[in-house]
Amino acid sequence: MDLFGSFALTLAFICAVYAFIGGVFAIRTRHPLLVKSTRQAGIATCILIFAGTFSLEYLFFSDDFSSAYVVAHSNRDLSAFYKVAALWSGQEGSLLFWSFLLAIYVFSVLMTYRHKNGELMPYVGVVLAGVQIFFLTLNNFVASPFKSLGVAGVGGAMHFVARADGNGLNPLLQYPEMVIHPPNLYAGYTGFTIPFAFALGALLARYPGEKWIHLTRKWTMIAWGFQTAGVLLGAHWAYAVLGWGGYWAWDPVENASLLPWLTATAFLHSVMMQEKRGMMKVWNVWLVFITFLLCITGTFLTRSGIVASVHAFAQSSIGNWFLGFIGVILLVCFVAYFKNRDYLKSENQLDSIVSRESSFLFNNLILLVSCIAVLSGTLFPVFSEWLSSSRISVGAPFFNKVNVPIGLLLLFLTGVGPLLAWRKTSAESLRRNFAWPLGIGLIGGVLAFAFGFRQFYSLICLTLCVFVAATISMEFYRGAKVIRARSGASFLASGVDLTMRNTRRYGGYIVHMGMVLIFVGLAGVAFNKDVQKDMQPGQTMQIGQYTLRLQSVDSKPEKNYTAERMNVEVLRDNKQLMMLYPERRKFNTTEQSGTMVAIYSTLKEDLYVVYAGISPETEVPVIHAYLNPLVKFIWFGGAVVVLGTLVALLPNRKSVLVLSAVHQTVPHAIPGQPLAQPFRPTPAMREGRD
Amino acid sequence: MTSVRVRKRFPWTILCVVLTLGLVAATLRAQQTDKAKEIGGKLLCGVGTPMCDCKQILTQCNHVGCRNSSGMLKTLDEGVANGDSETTIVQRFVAEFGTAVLSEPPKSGLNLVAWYLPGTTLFAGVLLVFFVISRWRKRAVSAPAAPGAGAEISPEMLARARARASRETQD
Repeated sequence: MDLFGSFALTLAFICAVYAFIGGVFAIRTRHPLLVKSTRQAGIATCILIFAGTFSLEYLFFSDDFSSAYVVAHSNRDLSAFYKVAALWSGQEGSLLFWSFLLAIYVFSVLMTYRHKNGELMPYVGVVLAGVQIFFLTLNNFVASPFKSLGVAGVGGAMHFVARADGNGLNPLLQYPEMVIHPPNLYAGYTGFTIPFAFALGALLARYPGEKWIHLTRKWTMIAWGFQTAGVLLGAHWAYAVLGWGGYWAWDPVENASLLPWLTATAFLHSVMMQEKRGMMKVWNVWLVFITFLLCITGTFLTRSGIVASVHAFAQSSIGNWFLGFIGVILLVCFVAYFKNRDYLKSENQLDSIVSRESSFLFNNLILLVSCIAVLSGTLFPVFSEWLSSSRISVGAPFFNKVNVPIGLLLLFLTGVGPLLAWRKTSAESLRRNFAWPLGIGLIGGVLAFAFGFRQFYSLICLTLCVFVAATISMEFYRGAKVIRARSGASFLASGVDLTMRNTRRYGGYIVHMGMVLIFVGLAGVAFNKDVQKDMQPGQTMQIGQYTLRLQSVDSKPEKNYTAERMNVEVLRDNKQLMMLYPERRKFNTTEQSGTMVAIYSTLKEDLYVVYAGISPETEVPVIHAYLNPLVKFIWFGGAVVVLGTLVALLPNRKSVLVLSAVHQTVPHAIPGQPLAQPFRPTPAMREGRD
Repeated sequence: MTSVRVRKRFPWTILCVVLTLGLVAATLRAQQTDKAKEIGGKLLCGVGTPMCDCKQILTQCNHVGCRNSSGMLKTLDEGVANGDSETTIVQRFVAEFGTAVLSEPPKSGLNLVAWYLPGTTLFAGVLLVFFVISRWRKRAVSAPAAPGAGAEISPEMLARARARASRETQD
C-alpha cells in the first residue's frame, strides 16, 4: 500500500506540473481544449492526492509496521479515533495532510467554476497548481511519508523489514481536541490559498475588482471560520492538557496561527469598502497576499525549528524550502502588482473621518499593528541573536503588555463601527446613536467596579464589552422592531427574519457578540488564583470558596496507558459538592507521561485541578489547584463566533413582507414624472445605515 | 494580689503576643509569597538547559521535579526571605543564566525596538490615515463639477444614483 501511495503522489506531482505549465500556455494561446485539459489535470491532481492520503490512513488502520511513518506514530493498541489523528502527528504526514486539505479546496473551486468565469479561472488554476507543486515536491522528494523500514543486507541490497509494534502516538496528541484542532487550523491555513489564487489571478488577468471579491468572499469566510475554530480549539487543548492553568502562552506556534487570522479579519472588513465603494483595492489585494504569506511563514516557523516552541517539529532543512517558497511568492506578488497597479485605482474617496469607511480603516490599522507586534515579538529573539549575539526571550508578559491595549482599541471600534454611517455621520446622528450604548456601557463599568473589578484593563475591558453588546443589541432591536410593526410577528421571529434577510450583516454582528464574550472571559484573567501543595490522603487545601480533600491516589491500567489518579473531594461551605479525578497517564510504549486535568466549570469560574506528580523532596503527591474566573465565556464566545460565521455564509432570504408593505405606501416612480408623494426615508436610511 | 492578677493575665498576654506574631509572620509570608510570585513572573524556567527547556514563566512551570524550576524557585524564595530587592534577585538570575532568563526583553539598547515598534507603527498608521483622508477631501473639494451638473436629472441618472446608493448603504 505504501507503494500505491507513493505512486499516487508522484502522479499527482506530474499532473500538477502539467496543470501549471499547460495553464500558462492556455492563458497565452486561449485554446479551449488546452484550458479544459489543464483544468482536468488540476482535478486529477486532487483525486490522486486523496488516494495517497487514504493509502497512508490504510497503513495506520492495518497496523502495517513495515512503514517507517506508521512505526513512528502508531501502535497496535492505539484506538481507531487516534489512528486518524496519527496522520498529522509527524512532519511527513502533516505535510501530506496539508496537501490533502488544499486538494479538497482546489477540487471544490475547479468543480464549482468549471463553466463560469472563463477568463479568470485559467489564471486561478495556474496559481493553485503552483502552490500544489510546492507541497507535492515536499511530499515526494523531501519528506515522503511512504518510506519503508529497510536494512542493508549482504552485498548492500536492501531488505524490507516489519516491526512487531510501533512506538505509539505522542501522548500530548491523545486527546479529543487534538483530533479536531489540527484539521481546523490546517483547513484555515490551506483555505487562504483560494482568495490568494483569486486575488493574484484577477490581478494578472486585470479582472474586474468587485467580481473576484464577490467570488472569494465565501471562501475567505470559510477559511476564516476554520482558522478561528482551530485557534480556539488549540487554546482549549492547551487549557485541558498542558496543565499550567492557562490557555494562551504566546508560544511561537500559537502566534503563527494568530498572524494570518489577524490579517484575514482585516481583509473581511476592508473588502466591504471595495464592494460598496470601489475603494481600498491595493490594500485588499495586499492583505490577501500577506495573509497567504503569513500562513506559509507560520508553517516555516513550525517546521524550521528557527524559534523554540513546545509545538515545533525537530530542526530540519525543510525550513529552507519554505523560505525559498516565501521568496518566490513575494517576487511573484511584487511583479504582478507593479505590472498591473494601474488596474487597482480607487473609484471613490473617503468623504469624512467620522464614517463607516474610516472606522474600517482604523480597524484594519489596529489589526495590522497587532499582527506586527506579534510577528516582531515572535521573531525578535532570532534577530537579536543575529545582530547582537545575545539571547533574548520574549515571553507572555511582553505580548500581554503590547497586545492588551491594542485589543481594547479594537473592541472599542467593534462597538463604534456599526453606529457610523457610510460616507459621513452627522453630529446629531452621533449623539442619537451613541447616547444609549455609551450610557449602558458606563453603567456596566460602574457595576463592574462595584463588584470588585479594580484592575485597570479588566475594568476597561468589561465596560467596553457592555458598550459593544449594547450597540449590537440595539441594531437587532431596531431592525426587528421595524419588521414586527410591518408583519405583526413576534419579536424573536422578527429578529430571525431580520438576520435571514441580511445574513452577512447580522451574521457579522453575531460574530462580534461572540468576540465580546471572549473578551469577557479574558477580563477574568486578572483574578486568577492558584495554590500548590504536597498532600497526603486525608489532607485538605483551600482555594477561594472551595476546600479540596485528597481521598486517595489509585492506579488504573488502560489499553494504551496506565493512569495514576487522584480522588479529590470538593467541598463548598463544608458541604460535599462533587468529586474530581485529575490524573497522570504513563503511556506503555513511549514511557512518556501526560496530564489529565479535572475541571469543575461554572459560568462564574473554573476550579482547575492538576495532579502535578510526586514531589522528589517529600515523595508525596502534589496537587496544583487554580481558580480561573469567567473562562467559560471564552469557549461559549468561540461557539457564537462560529455560529455567526455560519449564518453569514447563508444566502439572504427575500424580503417579501417588507416589499408588500412598501408597495402599499410608496408609489412606483414613473420615468419622467415626479412622485405623487415624496418618499420620506427613516433617520437610519438618511444616515445610510441600511 | 497584684502578683496573682499578673499571673492570671500572663497566659493571655503570651497568647496575644503569639497570635500577633503569628499574624505578622503570616502577613509577611503572604507578602513574601506575593513578591516571589511577582518576581517569578518576570523570569523563565529552564532557559537554554537540556533538563527542562519548557520556557514557561518560572512560577507557572508545572513540571514537578523539574531540576531548573525547583532550584530557581528556591533561590528566589531565599532572596525574598533575605529581603533582597527585586533588581538584586533578578540580576542574580541574569548572572547565572544570561538575559534569556528574563521573560521580556530588557528596556535598553537594541531591545527597545521590540518595545517601541508596535506603538510607533500605530502612531505612524494613524498619521497616515489622517493624511490620506485630508488629501482625498482636498482633492474632492478642488475637483471641477461633473459635466451636466446643474442640469435637470434624467430618470436614468436617478435610477443609477439610486442603485449606487442602495449598493453603498447596504450592510
